[in-house]
Amino acid sequence: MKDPENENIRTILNSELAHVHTSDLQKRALYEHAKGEKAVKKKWSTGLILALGLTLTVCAALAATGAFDALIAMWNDSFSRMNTTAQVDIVDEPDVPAYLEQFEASYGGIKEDLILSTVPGDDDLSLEEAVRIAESAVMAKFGTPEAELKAMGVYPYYYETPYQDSVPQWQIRFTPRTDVDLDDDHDHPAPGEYLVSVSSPSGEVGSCFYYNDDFWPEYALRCWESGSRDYVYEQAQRADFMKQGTETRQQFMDLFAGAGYDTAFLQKAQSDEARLRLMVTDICFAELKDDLLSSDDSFVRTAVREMESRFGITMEDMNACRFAAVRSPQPSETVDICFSYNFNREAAAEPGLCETLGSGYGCRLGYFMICMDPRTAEVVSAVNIIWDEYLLPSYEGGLLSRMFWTKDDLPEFYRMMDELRALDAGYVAGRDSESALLNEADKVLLRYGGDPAICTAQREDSGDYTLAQFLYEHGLTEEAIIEKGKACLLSATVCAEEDLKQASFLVGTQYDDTSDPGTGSMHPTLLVLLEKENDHGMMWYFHFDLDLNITLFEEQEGNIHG
Amino acid sequence: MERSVREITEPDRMLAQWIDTYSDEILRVCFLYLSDRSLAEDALQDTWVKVWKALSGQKDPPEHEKAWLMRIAVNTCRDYTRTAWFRHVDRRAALDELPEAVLSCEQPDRSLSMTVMGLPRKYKQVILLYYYQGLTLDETGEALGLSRSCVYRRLKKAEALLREEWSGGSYERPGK
Repeated sequence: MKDPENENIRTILNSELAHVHTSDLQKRALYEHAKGEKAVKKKWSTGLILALGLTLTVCAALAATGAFDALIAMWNDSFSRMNTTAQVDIVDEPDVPAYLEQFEASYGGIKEDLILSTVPGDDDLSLEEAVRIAESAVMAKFGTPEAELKAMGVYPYYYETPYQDSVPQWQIRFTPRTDVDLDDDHDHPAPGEYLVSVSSPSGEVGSCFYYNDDFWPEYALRCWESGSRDYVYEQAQRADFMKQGTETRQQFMDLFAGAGYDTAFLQKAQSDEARLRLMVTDICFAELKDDLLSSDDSFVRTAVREMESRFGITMEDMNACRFAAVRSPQPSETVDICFSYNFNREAAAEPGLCETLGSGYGCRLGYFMICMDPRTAEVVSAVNIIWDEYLLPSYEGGLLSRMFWTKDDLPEFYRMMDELRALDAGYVAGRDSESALLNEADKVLLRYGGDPAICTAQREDSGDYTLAQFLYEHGLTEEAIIEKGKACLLSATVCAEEDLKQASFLVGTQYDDTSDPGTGSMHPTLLVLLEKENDHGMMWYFHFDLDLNITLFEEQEGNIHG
Repeated sequence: MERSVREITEPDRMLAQWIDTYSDEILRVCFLYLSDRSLAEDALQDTWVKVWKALSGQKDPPEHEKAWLMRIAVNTCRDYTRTAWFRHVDRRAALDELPEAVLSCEQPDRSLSMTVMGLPRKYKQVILLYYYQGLTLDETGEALGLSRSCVYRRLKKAEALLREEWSGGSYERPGK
């Protein structure tokens, strides 16, 4: 391991990841694909990769061996049975450069990191034995019927690594089919595959994994007995499950009920709320192609009027909270328009302070679906749900206010946003301190119902405190911490009182260096930035104990903006 | 054979230049984020698609282009991590299970890469953008949609977590 002394993280990571790069050809393909001029397969089929790898391996080997022939035969058999167009090419060594060039031209690039190292020797575990061991491991661990496993494609490869004490291994992959192409831009991954590593020549099973690429009920059923029950149940509550046919869903509902799981949600699959949940997943995490919010579509106009009359949400409210409208693609007897916060509008934008903070609150108004008669456009039903989603991209940036804003809270929500916008309007980049601006914004958020205890309860990692939570629990205030820092700087005569009026104060927290970060004690910190000309200035860093005694003080002069 | 002549616009030129300049960095960030080369390549591809869509609709280029690009890349990676498959598979093992290239002569040291990959996502993000990509606190906050103070707090904790794996390492204190 390299000595990190005198090396920074960037240098070390670049050195370690030197093999992760893009070729000029790949860059050209990326350019064309980004502009839509050339479709590039997103995922390379395993067969193609192995075919290429085998080609290069042939170049390294001097002559075909019995084991080599067996590998070729197994791959070609699997390609044929799995209905793939991949094939194995044997190329003489002098012809390899031309072959690679043609391959790159055809497919836009090659996978350089999946290259077979070698072929097994006479003392190694045979291919047949390795496959037999792998099959036994899969059947024992996952309860997969033998006939089902035998029907899968088998893609074995053998590799050695140059690491010290490394053991040669067979990697046996069982997969029901390769990627299924829907069109030039989309492919559906294989529903699931097994990957088993078997050491050679001992035959010891190193790992035996099942990769569930997507929720395909039939394979999840097969994994039931091995302990995938919780995973299956979790996935069953996702929108993907709801897209399965009634008969398939019933199979699972019976299994879940038999195992004592609550199936009430699954049984409401046909309810408006369930359908709305199904849609919202697609809206929130997929790129919207059509936003109907400004559309003249008659159904949309009716839905917008219903949003106001039934829920009190106006078009202006929806625009302010960055809502999008989407026509539901789910089969239904009604025309369903779903309104929800659209995260993807933020993806390519440069939000300002208020927009960033505001986006986190819009979703907490909830999600709405208006269902209309397709012939008369009369509203048949309307649904509103508030969905707790802790993975929202803006969630972590705007936590200091209440979790849920209902329509009745909208006037208060706008008052809060007006205060935040006023802060934004008064801020001049380069002149004012952004940390001070953010500190003031935090105070506004707390004033409008912010409860640090609620924020902490919703955190992804337990024990990860917000600054507000920390101060709240220990009876501390930012003002007190800042005053301590000021007093120290003045008594140490490192700067004058007049200078401190221009300084920025950033209060933070840090775990005690001697403690386990996950469970140790946290202490307040203070960063003071005094800016002078041309970004030059002074920086002071304080570390306090919980009684606000200074335990660490550091001073630094230089470019404080980096 | 006739060849059509296509006008090269400013966004065209900008996209080509950015792809040439930033593809490797974005790919590595995605790789460290997702711990999977194949997914990282997909994420890189999706990132450039989104960049082009945004670029072709904007009048002026973004002020901090690298932070802007990293934001798109990180958001793309976030979307990938939300799939059930990604959650189910322990991707930290993926690096050690990859077979080595037959012509590779030098065994690379992957200690820091593995350590970074193993960090909780929120700390991994700030390490990747602030330390690895050299963004400022402000730019890192922009890229992640976080306040500067939030970035600062996370960096401190990320440093502590990294320091657990190493001893005697020196890190640039945030705020410079």
